[in-house]
Amino acid sequence: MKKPLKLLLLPILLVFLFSSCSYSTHELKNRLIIQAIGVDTIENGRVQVTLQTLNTEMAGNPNSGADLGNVINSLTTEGSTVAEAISNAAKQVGKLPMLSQNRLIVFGRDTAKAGIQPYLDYFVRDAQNRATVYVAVSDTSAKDLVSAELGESVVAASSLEDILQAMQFNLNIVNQELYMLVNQVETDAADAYMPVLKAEQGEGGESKFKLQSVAVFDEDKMLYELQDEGVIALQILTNQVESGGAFSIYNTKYQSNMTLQIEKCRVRIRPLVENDQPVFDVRIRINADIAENQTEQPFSVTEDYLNETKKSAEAYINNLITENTKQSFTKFQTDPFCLGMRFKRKQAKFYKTHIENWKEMLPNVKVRVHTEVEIERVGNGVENI
Amino acid sequence: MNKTSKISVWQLFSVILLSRLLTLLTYTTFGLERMHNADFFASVLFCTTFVALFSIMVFIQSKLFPEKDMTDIAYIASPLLSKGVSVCYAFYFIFAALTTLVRLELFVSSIVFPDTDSTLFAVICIIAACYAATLGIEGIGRASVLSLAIFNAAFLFIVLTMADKIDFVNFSPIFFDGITPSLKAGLNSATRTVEVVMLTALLPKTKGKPMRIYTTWLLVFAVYKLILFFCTFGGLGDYALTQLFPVYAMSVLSEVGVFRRFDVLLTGVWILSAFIKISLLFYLQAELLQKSFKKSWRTGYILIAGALVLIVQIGMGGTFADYFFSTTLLTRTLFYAAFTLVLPGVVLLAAYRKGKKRHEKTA
Repeated sequence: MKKPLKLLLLPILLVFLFSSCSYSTHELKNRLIIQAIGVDTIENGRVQVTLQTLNTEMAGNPNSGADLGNVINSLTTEGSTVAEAISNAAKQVGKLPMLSQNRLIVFGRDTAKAGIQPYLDYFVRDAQNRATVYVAVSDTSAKDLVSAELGESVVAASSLEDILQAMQFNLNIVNQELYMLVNQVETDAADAYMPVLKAEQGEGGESKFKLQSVAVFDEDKMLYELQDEGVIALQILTNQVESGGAFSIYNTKYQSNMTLQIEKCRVRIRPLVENDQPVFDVRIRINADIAENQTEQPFSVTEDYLNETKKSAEAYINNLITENTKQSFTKFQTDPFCLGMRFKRKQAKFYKTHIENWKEMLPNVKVRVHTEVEIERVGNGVENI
Repeated sequence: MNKTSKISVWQLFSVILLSRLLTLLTYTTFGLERMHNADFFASVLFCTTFVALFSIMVFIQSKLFPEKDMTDIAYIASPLLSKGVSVCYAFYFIFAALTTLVRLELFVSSIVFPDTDSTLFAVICIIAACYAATLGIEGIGRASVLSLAIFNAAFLFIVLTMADKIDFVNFSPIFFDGITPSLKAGLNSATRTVEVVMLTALLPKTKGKPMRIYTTWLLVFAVYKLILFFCTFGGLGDYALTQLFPVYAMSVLSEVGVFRRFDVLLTGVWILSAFIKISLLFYLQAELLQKSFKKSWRTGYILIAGALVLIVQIGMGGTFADYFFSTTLLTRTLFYAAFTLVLPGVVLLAAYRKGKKRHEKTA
C-alpha cells in the first residue's frame, strides 16, 4: 500500500474509534445500573417489574458530604412483557437500563405459583442478562423484597447475594443460578427449585433479609417448600456440599447433642433398574470434625464414643435422604434432587420407554442410601478438663 | 506462474487453525434443529471424517501438483479455464469473508455493543483487514502464530477457571434420538470448514510438507472442539443451546476469586481471529485474481473485495444473515462440495489429461 495512504489510515481509524464515545446516553453515569429485578404478575396478564438500581451519583461520591440520597433506588414499572416493563423505566428516570450488573432476579410468590415460564424468556434471550445471575422467590411479592432497604449506604441486592452465597458453608442454604433453573424447568427428568427469601421489618424501620425455605416447582409452577432437613438433603444429593457445613445429631447411647462440621463430602449416585423399577444407589462419604459436644457429665472421647457418633451420624444422613426423597416422590411426584437427570443419562433406554409416565413412576422409585462418616478431628473440650 | 513468498508449515497450521476456531467460537444453533447435547461429541467424530473426505482433492493436488495452486493447475489445461477458476475461487473467498463478517457483526451487535450501531465496527474491521492483506502471506502467517499463542492462553485460562462448574448431570445421553442428529451436525460443521478450499491456494505457498501438518490440524481441531463442547455442555447443560453463541455463554461461567467477567478475554481473541481470517481471505482472492488478470492490481483487488463485503454487510446485512442462517443443510452441502470436490476434480482431471497428452506427444 502506498505510503501516504498508510499514513492516512491511522488518523482515520482514530477518528472512528473516538467517535464511539459520542453516545452520551451510554455513559456510565447516565445508565440505570440494575442490581435486582423483581417480577410480579398483576391483573389482565400484565407484569409489574420492580428494579433496584444503583444511585450512580451517590456510588461515585460517597464522601462528598452533599445529600445525594441512598446508594440504591427502586422503581416499579408495568408492561405486557418483562422487556416492555423494563424499557418503560425510562419514562420515570430517562436513563437506559443496564442489565449486565444485575445480581438477582426475584419472582413474587403468586407469580411463582402461577408459573414462571413466560417470564424466563426475556432473561434467556437478552444477551445482557448473565447466565449466572441468582434467582429466587419472594415470600410475599417481588416488589416487597426488591424495594426493601437496609440503610442509605447498603446495596440490598448485594446483601441478598451474600445470603445465597453462604451456601458454601451452610447446609440449610441453597442458591440457584439462572442457567440451572432454565435447565431444570426445561427438562422432563427433574423439577426446578429456588430459594425463598423474605424481607422483614426490623427495629428503626429498616428491613432485614432471611432465607425462608426452598420452593420446589412442578414444571414451572411452585408446588411446595422444603424446610431445613429437606434443604440439607437437596444440597447433598445435588452434590453441592462444600467444606464448612454443619449438622447436629443426638448420640443415643451417651445421651448427648453434638454438631459435626463437614470437611469433605463425596456423593456417588448409581441409577439402576431392578424389577422394572428405577433404583438409585446413593453412597455418601463424609469426613467431619466434632464442632460441639454437649454432654451431661464430663468424659473423655473414647473409641466407643466415636463409633457411636459415627453410627448416629450415618443413621441421621440415611434417614434424612430416604425420608425427604420419599416425601418428594410420593406426596408431590416431584424430583428437585435431579436424580431423574442422572437416570436419563445412565439408563437412557429404560427412560426413553417410560418418558411419558416418568412422573407417575416416581412414587415407586427406590432410593438406597449408604452413608459412611469418618470423624477426622475431635478437638478439645470440657470433657477433657 | 510467478515466484511468491512462502510461509512455514507451522504458520500454515496456525493460520488455518485460528480460522477454523473462529467458526467454532461463533457457532450458533440458530436455524438448526434441536439435538441432545451429548450428540455434539459424536458430531465431532463425524465432522472430522467428513472434512477428511472433502479434502480428497487437496490430497490429490498435493500429490500430483505439489508446487501449484488451482489457478496454476487450470492453466495447464487452458488459460481460459484458469481465469474461470480464479474468478470462482475469488467469489468463494469473498463469500467466506462476508459470512465471517456477518457472524462477527451479529456477535458484536448482540453481545459487545447491543445498544449501539455496529456499522462503525464493521468499517474498522474491513479497513484493518484490507491493510493486513496488502502486507502479504508472511505478515499474516506471523500474526497468526502470535494470535494462536494468545488464543491458547485465553482458552486455557477460561477452561481452567470454569472447570469447577462442570457437572456431569448436565450431559444428556448419547444418541438418545438416534445417530441422525449427530451425523447432520457433523456434516453441517464440515460444510463450514472454509480452510479446505483455502488450502488449494495455500499449498504452493508453504515450505515443507503441508499435508502432514494438515492431518495434524484435523486432529488438533477435533480435540479443541471436544474440549470446548465438554466445557460448554458440562458447565451450562442444555441452557447453552438456548443461547445465540453457546461458547461465549460458557465463558461467562469462568471466574477466579473476586475476578469475574473473563468473557471479555474471549471477545478480544474472537475479534483478533476474525481480523486474521478476513485478511487471509482477502489476500487469497487477490493472489488468484492477479495471476489470471492484471498483476499490478493486487492492492486494487483487495480494496474492491473489502468494499464489496462492506457494501453487502451494510446495505443488506440482515438479508444476507437471513439467507445464511436459513439455507438448508442440503444447499450448504452442495455449495461446499462444488468448491471442494467438483471444481477441483474437474480442474485436476483436465490438467492431468492435458499433461498426459503432452507427455505422449513429446514421447
